[in-house]
Amino acid sequence: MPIKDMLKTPGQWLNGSGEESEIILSSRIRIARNLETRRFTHNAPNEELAAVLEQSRSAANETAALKDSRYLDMGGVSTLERQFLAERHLVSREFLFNSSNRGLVVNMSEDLCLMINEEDHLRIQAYSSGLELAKAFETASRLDAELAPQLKFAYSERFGYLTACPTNLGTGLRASVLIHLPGLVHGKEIHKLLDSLRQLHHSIRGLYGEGTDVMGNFFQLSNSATLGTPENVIIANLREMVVKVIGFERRAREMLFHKARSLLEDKVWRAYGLLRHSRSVSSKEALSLISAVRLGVGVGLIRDLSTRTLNELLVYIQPAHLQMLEGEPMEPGERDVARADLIRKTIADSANHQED
Amino acid sequence: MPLMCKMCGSRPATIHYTEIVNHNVVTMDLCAQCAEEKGIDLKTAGNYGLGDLAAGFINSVAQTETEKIGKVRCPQCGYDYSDFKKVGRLGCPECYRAFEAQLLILLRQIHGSTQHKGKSPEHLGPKAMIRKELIDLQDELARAVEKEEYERAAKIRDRIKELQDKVQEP
Repeated sequence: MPIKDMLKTPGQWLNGSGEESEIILSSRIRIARNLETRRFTHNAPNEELAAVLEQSRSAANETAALKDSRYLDMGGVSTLERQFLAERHLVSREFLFNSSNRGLVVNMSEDLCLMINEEDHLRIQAYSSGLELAKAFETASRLDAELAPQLKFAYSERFGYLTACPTNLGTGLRASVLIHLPGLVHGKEIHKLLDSLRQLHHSIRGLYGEGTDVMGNFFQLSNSATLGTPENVIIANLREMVVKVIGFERRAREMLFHKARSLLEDKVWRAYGLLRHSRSVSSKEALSLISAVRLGVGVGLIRDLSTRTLNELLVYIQPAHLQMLEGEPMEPGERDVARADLIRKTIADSANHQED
Repeated sequence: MPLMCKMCGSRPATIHYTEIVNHNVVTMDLCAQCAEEKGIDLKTAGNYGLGDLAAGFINSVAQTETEKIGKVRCPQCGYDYSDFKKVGRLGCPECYRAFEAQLLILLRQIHGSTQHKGKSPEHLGPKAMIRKELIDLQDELARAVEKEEYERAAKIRDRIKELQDKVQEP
């Protein structure tokens, strides 16, 4: 099945369902595993990588968790297609640069996948819409449990699951949420929050762009430590942290709504107007407009658009998605026009459906 | 005669750690075990981060090590510790055993812990939990002996014996 078919349906994790989904876009679980007696990916010669790929792929074939799935040989897909998969959060940037002897098994609903020969031999990833860390963890664990008897995972009693980088050692578990914090960014409280989260052993970074150039107010919040704490506690701690951040964001939104209502309304409606009528929009501008409109939907100002539509737009307005939709490579200027077209059409369709 | 650890006095010092106390530079020569305990204080040297930040930790730890440690080689893949410092990644799973002493401080800085708790591969079975407890008890025994708490040490030793028998049962 060609990768292009994946364009037709967005990943399920974007569908705007689940707990707290107006602030939390999605939850993700990543579990790192390596095979015993094999060198780690970056240090292994090609024959060894090929053997790991073959062994892991056939083990994945035997699992019920990945029964309805497609296999993508990264060496056999184009750079554009690899970028497309990265925009869908299915593969990491690492796969963009190294592709031979790398593989991806992904299920049809795109809520579970297995990267083979990434930084670690195996990286299981599970996704869920909203704040649903436990659900995603269960999905990932089921695959882990099915793979374990077939593949001998590198493990030591002292250090747990052995990983290429010591930052993933132990549980190999990275749990994260994509969180939308326009209220805190606007209230200039975001930096205080970032600092205190780091002190509390959690990591937060921009989803699009890094440091001071975080676009669209979307952040990824995750656990930092993977060694010394059992999986369920890591997840419970992260969840507790996320719930606190949601509380801060709500308060910031309420402040905006009550203390600066006309300012907020102007920002939201202006953004909505631009999305509905622009004829050319850069990806950076689009992210910032979608963020403002998403805030408008969250506080109840805009009622004819759903969080789901906006979540899906976030993925589809990215360069590789636009070019795959178009069916050919486009220059950045052409992409800006195609992006504006897509946004206008999506919003018009969505508003029509709401009226039906 | 190698330089001995200033804390325990019984093991050779492999870590040379510099600290500023009341505007005075204090240099300590420690063995890996004692440095690991001391490692809690090293926390302030870095902040908690992921991925790329690991290289930062690795370098800060690297400065406290002697040349000799950099030359320790993994018998499985031939990687040496200085390769790890450069790349920020180990060469193979066996490297964790080869570089265990050096990694302990780093792991405490990154994770605040050096002992895995959580899932284990199913093929290791329930005995894995007992083995884990054994590791903890052996550390505890060493500490008790060091502090000359012989009565407590004897109790720990009995418990270790008991668990060892359990692990050896078919």
